[in-house]
Amino acid sequence: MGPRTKTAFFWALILVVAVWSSPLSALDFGHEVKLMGQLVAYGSAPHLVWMIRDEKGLLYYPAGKLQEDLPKLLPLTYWWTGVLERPVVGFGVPAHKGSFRILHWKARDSGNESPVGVDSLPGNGIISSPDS
Amino acid sequence: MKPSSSVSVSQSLLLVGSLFLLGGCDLFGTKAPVLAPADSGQVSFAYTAVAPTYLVDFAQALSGKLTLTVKGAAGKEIFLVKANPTDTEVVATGVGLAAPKVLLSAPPRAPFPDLPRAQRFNELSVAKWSAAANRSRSVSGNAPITYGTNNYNFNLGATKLFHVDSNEGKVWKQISATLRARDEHCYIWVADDNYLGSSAQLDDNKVSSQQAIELATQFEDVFTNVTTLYGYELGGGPGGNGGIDGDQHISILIYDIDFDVDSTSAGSGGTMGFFWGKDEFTQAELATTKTNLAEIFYLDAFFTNDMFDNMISTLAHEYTHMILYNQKNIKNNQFAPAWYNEMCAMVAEDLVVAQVGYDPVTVGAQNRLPDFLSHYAVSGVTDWLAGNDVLKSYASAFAFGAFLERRYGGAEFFHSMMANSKVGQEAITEAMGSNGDFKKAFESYLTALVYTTPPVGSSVSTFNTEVSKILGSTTYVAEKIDLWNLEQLDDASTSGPFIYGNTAADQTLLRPWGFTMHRLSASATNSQSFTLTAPKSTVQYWVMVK
Repeated sequence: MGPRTKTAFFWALILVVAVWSSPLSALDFGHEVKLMGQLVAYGSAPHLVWMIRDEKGLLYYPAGKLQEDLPKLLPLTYWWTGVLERPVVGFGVPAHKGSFRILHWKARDSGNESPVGVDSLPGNGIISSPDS
Repeated sequence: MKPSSSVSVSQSLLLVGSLFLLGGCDLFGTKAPVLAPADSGQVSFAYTAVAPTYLVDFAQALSGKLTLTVKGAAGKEIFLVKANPTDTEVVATGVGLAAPKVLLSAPPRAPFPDLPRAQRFNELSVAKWSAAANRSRSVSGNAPITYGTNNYNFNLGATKLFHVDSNEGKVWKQISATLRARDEHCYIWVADDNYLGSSAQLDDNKVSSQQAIELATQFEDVFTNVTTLYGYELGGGPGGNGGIDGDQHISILIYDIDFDVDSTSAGSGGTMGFFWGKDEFTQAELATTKTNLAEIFYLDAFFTNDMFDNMISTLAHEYTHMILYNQKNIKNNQFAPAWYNEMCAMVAEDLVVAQVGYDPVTVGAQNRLPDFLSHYAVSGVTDWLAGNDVLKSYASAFAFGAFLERRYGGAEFFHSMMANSKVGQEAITEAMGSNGDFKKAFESYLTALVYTTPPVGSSVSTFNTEVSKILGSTTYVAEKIDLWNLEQLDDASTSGPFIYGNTAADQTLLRPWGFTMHRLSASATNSQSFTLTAPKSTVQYWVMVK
């Protein structure tokens, strides 16, 4: 391996390490991830955008119907599991690391876990809905 | 940080010494003096007027316990404030074994300044915000209509269709409204279904001609005071192009928001008004949301008719949202967290209502303080809760804003904060300048909750101080607030903040940038000791002698 090859290999290695060690790499998109965070509202009521903010302060956008349903959760920290997708480009939400197709969640300090699926949102023992 | 080995030697000596002591108490026992248990570290705090507060250093704790001795506090009350200066809540087990305090619900039909529901607003791109900021003229292409009474886009009696939503944003429809009043800076549109020119009844959901005219008159005062404080909406101010509609007059539409009068949902709360940034954009720039293409905000017909005085503060509140949307979203592409957005709007109420001849205590944001006194622990400074709990978030956000007003320079501070390019905690830090940062403000806030009259020579804060600042030719006064003379919402027989007990069952979780207040004792002796159980490392224990 010549010096130039070594240099190229070195920088490639650095790049791979950098990508893997970044808070959220492109490699994560399309895969199931688990993160800990809580819901945070942006805007002025009632036109709020609900985001998940993890403990590092990074924002994730819960997509679709979850925007309406997730605020019914108790304002606690949850473990969120879901498929991470690319940020919603050009949409009027705060800059974020990725949109989030949530599969399930559980309270950080609870042994319980929500059933899979948005439809299970109200009254599953972990979350509290004003409507339930 | 754990104690070093050298410290451990001295602590061991203390432990040996403590074996000769008798008695003790659980947690923060109220017996005085309390003697150090065998496995506690020791710290002491000597009260002076200059330094009446003390941040407990748990590094000295042994086996999770610490004996705190407070000296020089004879005849004074000793408070403990547990604080969480982080963005993440601390669960009850992190502040002691706890069960959440059972809190009463908000009263039914409590008015919200904004709609009580959350709704997506995700059609707009960053590029479009930028485009909005850079529009050289209105989308109509006509020359701008500037403020004043000589140049209007609409005559009195003109009718117009407005898009409004129902069923929580899922259904859009158009309603017809008529221009019932106008003035130098505003148009007052009243939905035809909610207008009865001669109506004198206060609960018929009909706004009268006189009320529409009076609202326009009041808005003129509100306009001057809010723009001097915060700046202008999109296209407003000297040289402004009139924004999306090319008309500098602010449109105000009065209708039955949510169409909830006489509905079964009336008990879930009513909405006094709202501003929605979607109206700053063309329909082509939106997806499903409908635009009214105007600098416009909305007031509820029922409350305008029934609680007219309260709508004066709502004018200031919603107009502030409109201005903030321009200053932060459009100009700086910054999305304000809800607590910050609402805090700015409620501070506008606090500073402006008195200027226009109304009582800020009864019709301004100060009427939220009783809720704060009862429920401060439910919603931290940076929280925004859903459902009826949102009232607690309004109360908490206002309390913090009221503190910032009175500590860091009143109207001048908020003027500076609106003018900077940041939002939320960062905006506060930037406006504080050499006074510190958001965390320091939070810590100072805790002292303001305890002290009505700061000890002479101390740097602790209080709500009970008047701050007067001149902006332009307007003098804004943040009036004194005596928190300890205000009744709690849930217990009118008790004044001041709810005091949590000191037993294990009394402990509750700490919300982000939240706190709980405890009374350790009213000290009759010069020296008292307390056994503290170390909390999670991020929790602060502030001892405050009052």
